[in-house]
Amino acid sequence: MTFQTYESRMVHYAWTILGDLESARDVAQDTFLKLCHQEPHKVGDPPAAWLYRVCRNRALDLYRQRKNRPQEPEFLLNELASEEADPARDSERHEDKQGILQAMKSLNEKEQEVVRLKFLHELSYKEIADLTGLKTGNVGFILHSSLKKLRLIMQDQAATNPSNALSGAPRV
Amino acid sequence: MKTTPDDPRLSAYLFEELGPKEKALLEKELADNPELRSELEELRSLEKQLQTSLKKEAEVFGLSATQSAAVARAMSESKKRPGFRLPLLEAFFNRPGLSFACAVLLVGLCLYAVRDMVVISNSFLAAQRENVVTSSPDAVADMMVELPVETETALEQAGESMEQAQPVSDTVTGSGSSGSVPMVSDIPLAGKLFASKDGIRSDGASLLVPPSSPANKPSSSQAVARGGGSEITIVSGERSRVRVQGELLYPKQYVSSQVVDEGVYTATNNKGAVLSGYADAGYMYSFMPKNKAANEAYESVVDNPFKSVGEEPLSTFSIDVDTASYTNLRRFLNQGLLPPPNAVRIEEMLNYFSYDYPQPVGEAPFTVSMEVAACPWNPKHQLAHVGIQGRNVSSTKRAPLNLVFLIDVSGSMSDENKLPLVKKALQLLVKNLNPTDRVALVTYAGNSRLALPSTPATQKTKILQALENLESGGSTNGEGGILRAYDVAREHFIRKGINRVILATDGDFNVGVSNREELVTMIQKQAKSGVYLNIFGFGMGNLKDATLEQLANKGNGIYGYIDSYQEARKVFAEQVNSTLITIAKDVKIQIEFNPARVGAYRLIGYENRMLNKEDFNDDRKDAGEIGAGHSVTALYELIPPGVGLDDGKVDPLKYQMNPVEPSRLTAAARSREVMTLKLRYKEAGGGSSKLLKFEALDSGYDWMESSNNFRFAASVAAFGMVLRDSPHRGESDFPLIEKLAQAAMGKDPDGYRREYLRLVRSAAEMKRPVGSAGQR
Repeated sequence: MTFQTYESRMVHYAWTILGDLESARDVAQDTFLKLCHQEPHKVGDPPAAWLYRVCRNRALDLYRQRKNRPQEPEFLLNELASEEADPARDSERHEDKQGILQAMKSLNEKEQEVVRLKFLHELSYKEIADLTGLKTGNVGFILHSSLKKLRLIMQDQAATNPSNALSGAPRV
Repeated sequence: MKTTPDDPRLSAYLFEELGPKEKALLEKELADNPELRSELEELRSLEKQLQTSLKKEAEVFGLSATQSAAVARAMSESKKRPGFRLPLLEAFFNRPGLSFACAVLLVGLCLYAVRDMVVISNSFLAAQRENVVTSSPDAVADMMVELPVETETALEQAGESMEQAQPVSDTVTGSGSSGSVPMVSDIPLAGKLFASKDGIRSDGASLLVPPSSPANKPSSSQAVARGGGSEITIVSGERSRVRVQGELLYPKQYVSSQVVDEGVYTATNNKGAVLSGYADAGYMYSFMPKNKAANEAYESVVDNPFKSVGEEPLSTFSIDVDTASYTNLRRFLNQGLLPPPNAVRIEEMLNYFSYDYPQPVGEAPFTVSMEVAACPWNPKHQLAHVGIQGRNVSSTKRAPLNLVFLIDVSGSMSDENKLPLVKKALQLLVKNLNPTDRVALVTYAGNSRLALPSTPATQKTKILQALENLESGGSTNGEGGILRAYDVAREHFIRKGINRVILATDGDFNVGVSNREELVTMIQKQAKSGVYLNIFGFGMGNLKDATLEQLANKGNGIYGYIDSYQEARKVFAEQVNSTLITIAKDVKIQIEFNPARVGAYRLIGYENRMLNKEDFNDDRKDAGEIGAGHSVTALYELIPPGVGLDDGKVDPLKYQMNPVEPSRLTAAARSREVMTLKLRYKEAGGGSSKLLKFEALDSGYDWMESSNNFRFAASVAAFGMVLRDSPHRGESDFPLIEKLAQAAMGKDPDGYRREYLRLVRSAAEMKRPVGSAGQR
């Protein structure tokens, strides 16, 4: 995998956990910086598993911190939410004509993460299991059922809204 | 055992997760069961869709430019650790787009050894990502880099490694060019960068040419970039003299360059995205198609034409004390580039400088001085110089201020010359506040935020800290910000005080098209009720020059461009009173020319400040404001009666005497008066306008005998006309510009005129024809 791919995937992965781009970037940056100071034998080659693990843990730490801080000013959350929406909105507008990303939103968090780890990050069942703490068999089950769910949702979409392409119209 | 379509083993099979035994079993079943086969195909198609969509979604994600640079730096640091091999480094240098970077690194290292040169570097994480957005054909700029004879051995040595890093068919070959010292690292702004038989190509937009080492003077490094059928040669010689030779024929592109020291530097691609990374010292050139959405935008300016006094004896305009154009063109010239002609507004150049005009003594808030002498760039013509000097107000006598800083903290502001400079600039201002003043801080990115509620200046530390805490990130929503800023200003409105919103932005002021007019109306309304708007542009890359100027103009404020800390000092410390205190508003000038003395006239500059003659006496008509200590300078080029318009564009009138028949002239016309200047202004507090009148006499002087004010202003105007390639430039050229200024330096306590002279000289260098390169 190329560095660029790692870079965008790390940020994206953190983003799927945290939901805002700025913190996702911070988490990804921390991850890479940590990598630079890590002994290579601890990292492994390819470094994917290590990167995902560090990135996930940092993102989750941050997520929990935030949860325990309910006094987070609301306007700030709004602000983050509106900023974070940009890349995703762009990609939806350009690419997601079938609405598969839309369909993804109907999955629960665990399912979404497993689907992403499999299809975007191209991790094996075992790698996903190691990362998420699920059992390998469970990973296979979640994946399979998620795929079936996605298919149903998309069939529904196609039936109710044949021109889904318009769903990503730019905000004025 | 029977497998149903719901069995997870089916997808496990698809993802090759099944053990050999299970796999064989399932394959057997698949062969017998068409339902299972079709289910498998469905899953396969879903897999493909998911992969494509998710990857598309993810690939636009990435670190911010600054973060990328930090990571790149850490990576190259870690590489230096003995025996350290970071797994990711391989991937890092094996990015498909950047396979060549590795090659060049090797070439560079060899060269370093051979010729003791400073070379390359690269590490552009952010750059790669941009290929997502910049693949339009007109963004393509091929780059070919010539390599000198001396480096061929080095190339051969590096060749082996290069081939490993590249597709088999691609190799870098050096085409000799003796004496040149080309070293090139390419930072692709759009991503794909690869080597081919023709040289090094990039469909990106930027090129780094490191400076030649002192040992190799006077050689220069050279790179040729081609895009869309045009070609540009970039020659970088000594560090101080970067030169861009030739013209990028590509119609909608222009080139910018910056000198970079070792460290992090940034560039802007054609989408306005700011990229940054870590590089060794060098010159970096960016190619930016000008027509692309997020780039710098300049309104087209057409030089005022000559007008016949017989037809139009009155010339009416609004004063303008903006200075942005001069600082902006200084930025260009300091980067080794000529500014785009439309970025040159001569009145803003003239008004950047202070002149030696007398201070007002009586009641009127300003004095007017006029001088007429021979025109330096056209011996048959005359030049009339008008200088208006506003009264100085001492800081202690200043009315209390109610300031709202409105600061753009969107992602694009992260550059060193943007948000960090904004902070320093505004901190300067805060330090100059009186205890009766107050400051609030509104920021805008995706949303607007009140970063500091209106705070009295007695709490300076608190205000300074709030400024220090600002961080950039996110998209831009200028509209929301400005509404909020005005709200805050209104809440703390000081009657008889100075109420201002001060906007600091890199210009990416996103306002919907339909909302723009509304915004202008709102700004005008606020200005009428006493809240003025000052706008300061920072940084480069997506400066929306025209929009900002218009908004500031409507908001009764000034528009400035802050290109450096030095400029920040000028605007926010040295001349803070002119920045903030308005001594007169709606200042209009109307000049009546004496037809016995003047056949035709032309106002130099002020193109977008022209008024109709009836607007002069119409108090409802908005015009320019003048700040404490501000001066306004205007020049008219005059053609005496009987001297034809050189351009011959206008035929003589058939039914009317041209010039005007002497019998129709008044007694005054027979005097030595060349023109009468009428000036209308309103007191800062408002009320109806007041009228002042002044006459200008012909001195009969040659320009050599004129005042320093006259000659310096003439030099600036000539410089502007040359930069604009004005059809009216006459005999203006760099030697004349320099001669005029040199004899008019005056005391120049702050060194602005000396700096001007330096800029003139470097522009002369850049304008030199291609053939005479490096002959100085």
